[in-house]
Amino acid sequence: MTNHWIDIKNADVILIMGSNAAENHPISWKWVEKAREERGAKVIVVDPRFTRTAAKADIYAPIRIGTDIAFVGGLINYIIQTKSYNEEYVKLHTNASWIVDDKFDFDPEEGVFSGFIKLGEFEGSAYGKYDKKKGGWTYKRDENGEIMRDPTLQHPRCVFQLLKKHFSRYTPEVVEKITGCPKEKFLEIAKIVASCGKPDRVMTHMYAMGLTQHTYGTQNIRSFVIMQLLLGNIGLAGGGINALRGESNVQGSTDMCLLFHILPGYLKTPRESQQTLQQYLDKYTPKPLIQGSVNYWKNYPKFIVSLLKAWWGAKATKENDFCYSYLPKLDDGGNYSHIVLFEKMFDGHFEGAFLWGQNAAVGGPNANKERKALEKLKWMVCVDLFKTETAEFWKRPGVNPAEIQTEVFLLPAAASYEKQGTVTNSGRWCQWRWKAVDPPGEAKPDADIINMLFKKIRELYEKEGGTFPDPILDCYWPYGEEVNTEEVLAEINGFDWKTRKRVANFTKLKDDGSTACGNWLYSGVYPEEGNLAKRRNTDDTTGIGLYPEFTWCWPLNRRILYNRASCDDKGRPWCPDRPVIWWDGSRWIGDVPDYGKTTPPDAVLKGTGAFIMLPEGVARIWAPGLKDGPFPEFYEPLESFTKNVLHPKQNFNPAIALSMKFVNGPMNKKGSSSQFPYVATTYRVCEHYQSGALTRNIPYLVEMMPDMFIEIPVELAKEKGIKNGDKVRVISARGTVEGIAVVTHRMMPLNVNGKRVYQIGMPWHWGYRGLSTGDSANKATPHWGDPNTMIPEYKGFLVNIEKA
Amino acid sequence: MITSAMNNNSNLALVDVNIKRKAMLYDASKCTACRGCQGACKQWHDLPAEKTHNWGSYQNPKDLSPKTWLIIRFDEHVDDRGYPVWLFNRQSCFHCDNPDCSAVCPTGAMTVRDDGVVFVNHELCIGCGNCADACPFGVPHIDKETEKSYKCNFCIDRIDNGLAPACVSACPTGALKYGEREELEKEALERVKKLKEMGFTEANAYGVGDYKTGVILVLPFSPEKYSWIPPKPQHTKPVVWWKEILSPLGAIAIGASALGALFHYVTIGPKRVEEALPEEEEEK
Repeated sequence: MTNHWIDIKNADVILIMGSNAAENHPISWKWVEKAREERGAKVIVVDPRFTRTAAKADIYAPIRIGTDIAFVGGLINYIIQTKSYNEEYVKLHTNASWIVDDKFDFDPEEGVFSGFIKLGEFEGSAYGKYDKKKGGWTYKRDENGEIMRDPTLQHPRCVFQLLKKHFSRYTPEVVEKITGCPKEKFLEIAKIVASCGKPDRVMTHMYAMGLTQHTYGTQNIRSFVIMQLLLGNIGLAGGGINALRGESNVQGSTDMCLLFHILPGYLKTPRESQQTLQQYLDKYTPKPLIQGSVNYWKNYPKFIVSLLKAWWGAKATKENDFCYSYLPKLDDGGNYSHIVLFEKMFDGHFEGAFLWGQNAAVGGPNANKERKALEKLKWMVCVDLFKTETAEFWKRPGVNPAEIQTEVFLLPAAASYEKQGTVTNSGRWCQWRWKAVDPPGEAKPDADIINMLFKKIRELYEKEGGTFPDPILDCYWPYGEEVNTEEVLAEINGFDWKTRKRVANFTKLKDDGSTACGNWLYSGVYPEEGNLAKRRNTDDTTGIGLYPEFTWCWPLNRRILYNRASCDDKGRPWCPDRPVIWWDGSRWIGDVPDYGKTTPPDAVLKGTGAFIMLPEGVARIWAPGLKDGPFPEFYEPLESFTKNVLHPKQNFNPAIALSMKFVNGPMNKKGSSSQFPYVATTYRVCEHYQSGALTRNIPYLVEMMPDMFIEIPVELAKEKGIKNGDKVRVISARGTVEGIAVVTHRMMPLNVNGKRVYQIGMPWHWGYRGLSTGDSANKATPHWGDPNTMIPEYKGFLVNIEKA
Repeated sequence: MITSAMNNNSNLALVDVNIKRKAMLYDASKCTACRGCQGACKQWHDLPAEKTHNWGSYQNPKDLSPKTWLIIRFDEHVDDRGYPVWLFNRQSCFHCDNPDCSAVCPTGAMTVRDDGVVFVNHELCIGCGNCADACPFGVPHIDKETEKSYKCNFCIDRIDNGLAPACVSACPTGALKYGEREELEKEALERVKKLKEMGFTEANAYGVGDYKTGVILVLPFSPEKYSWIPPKPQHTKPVVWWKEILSPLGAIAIGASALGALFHYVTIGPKRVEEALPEEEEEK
């Protein structure tokens, strides 16, 4: 979240799109109701399903699964056409005035941006990748090498004019034709959304996996970013782009580099061509694009050197590049995301695997394929609370355990209440939690399991040697028998290597090896004065619910990101009734400013922009960093029943070349609408958590949601002779899912591009272990995903349905 | 009222034990049907989970039972423009003023406290089922094994020790509140006014009119649209008859359980335990 949970109460309009907040983030609703009660906020829910969230909305709009960009594109067009944007904000805080290279273009006929390199064709549409240089995905510079800008926003090649042109195709009629949302409903929503372009009205956007899990998931989010920037809603109380994270600590685990492409604190994983620290730093330390830009990532060397120091301690010296050579290097261009790893596993490239707190046999996309892939392992270690479907994949229904050779080890883990440590919530609050009870039996906290493993592995290296033992032998590992997680937090905070005194925050980190820091973003959580994650002061000195002394929040306890943008060039808040920060003549007051504490407000006019992490200094309406275009463009899901209304020649996202390697590969067939005429999606319910490993073992929750079920429109059920409560079978090109039919008006049939479309909903909580068993919806989902993140397409695919 | 500074719904927040007429406010317009209350009720009272099946609805268990004292009901409608309407309602004991269940109880087991809480004293209960028959809302249920009546007891063990009822503590959205009835009634009427301003023309408060209850409902839609509550709650007819004619006799019968059973047989008829059991029970 750019903002935080409590801040929802400050919103005038709450747009929930891509999230089922009331069900999956119940506490959010406390603040939604507060906003309604105290501010008269309007709640808008746009969703293919009429969820428990939709049931509480002021306005509900149904849309076809996977058509969010068309809907938001329509909103962007409406905001521009009606001149509802906050012009002053847009000029001050975004790159709307920046001029783009002459070569950059979008071809509305071909449906691709400039620089497209076609690698292949699939069902009449092209796929490939973009050559950004060739395509002119860069700003235009004048004869002095300065980037050109037009503060009037009139230059035809400025970002604003390009944006206007790009989205002019997204008329209300086109929106209706693509999304199935009636034009009147769309316009009713557009009017309310556009009202938040007034400086003193603010909209928050709440989203979750409904936006991200698509073959254009990143661009889904980008479209909301653009809209919120146009409305001037980023950085303000009650505004922002708010990702509701799906697990209590998924924010923390992302910050600590759960994903393959990053190291802690969003530092980049080195690639094979970056053999020296200098090569690595040259690649990833950005240069300011404009004079005056803070360009905070210029401190990259301090962060990475301090990280290396935290990992290899005394062994990390300037002379040996601080042991940079010990870091594993990814292949140039290599991708190691979930789908790719499981494809490799399926092809027999792995001997063993650790599946740590992950139940891929239920939660992984194309679960049939992933279960099969596990059979190719010689050994597998599962670390979990229960014997999950993954831990017992070898005796799943329909297989003969005698034929599966994988040796499986299950290490029992302690649950979150059975250990101490921190949990970082969606609002970036790092909160200390104390142990409530001892773990049962031999179960141990994850940190202790890692500690035991590491020590044993080091012992084996010491005794037996081996290839490249140095990173293990030289590792700084100061833990005893059991890991005190507070010591780990101290290391994450960072300390002076000589004095061992903990640093105050990341501004004290050095690139000379004198400081160690496990994650620069968290530096400041545990300074010498104490562990701030333990704070529980419930005073709100700010009046807008920042609770600055309740736990600690990254970065630097800043509760609202980009808060400098909440003020104009004189330091006056756009919304004086809910100011986040303001200039008192000599310094910034309020939240921890996302700006120099004493940098005067008019510095934004001199290049020192509000978005200090970007080399531009201003927010990107036009963002050349992504793999599939500087602007979002609507594409159909790969499995779709209709032609792309905007450009029939290019149905799906042309940049999904990596996914195309797996399409129609073994056990990963793409279905066609002649065989699979209905659109399906997957989701969670309030009563169960993720793959259900935990909640399907809790009797009360099983009592409430006892069986796998499938939500079906009343009209479709009638056509198929399916009655409420019947057993039904949903079939995709990948697999079959059985469940109980919940026949409901809440799955509204839609008219899309001249066709009536039925949508089917399936929760994915079930599996073949636990108190309640049933099919996982992921037996039907595919192994393809977003080109930027490779997040799987869990949300939109084609199916058929029949009575079981 | 003593509350913690941060959150009066917090499990640890202290509540006033000296409230004169204890009450709860359930605001259906703020309820998201997360069912935290339903789970918390079972957990606090150590009630076992029932074996349930999905019957084409999110609602489960289907009804109250000796082992289930609170459920959230789901009612689905379609509005005049063809859009779905999904209503949530909390089904549990209303802790009525002059409750019929207590009036018909031959042994005095169905106890009404001075603070309005209605609970079953299991030492006195003979499982005759009068309460179940008399309740206008079908709340008490008789367990055929223990031959006792079961229903929500307002978490008397919590409220007498300064804690809010378990369901109230678990509610994340503020849909459930605990406090003095007079205050909550005022709050309910205010909220109805507000909901009407927000466009909920049918908004109403339930349990505040002639028929007063200890659990007040704020409903954004008219009571007819909620499946389990009578649109206009009133005392059941047999109860009126029983109260007017037989209650002096009933008073004599307190403590005389055998006699009570006889009264039951004479006035109501034989026990109808089976009827009161939910089908989940039978499937066991």
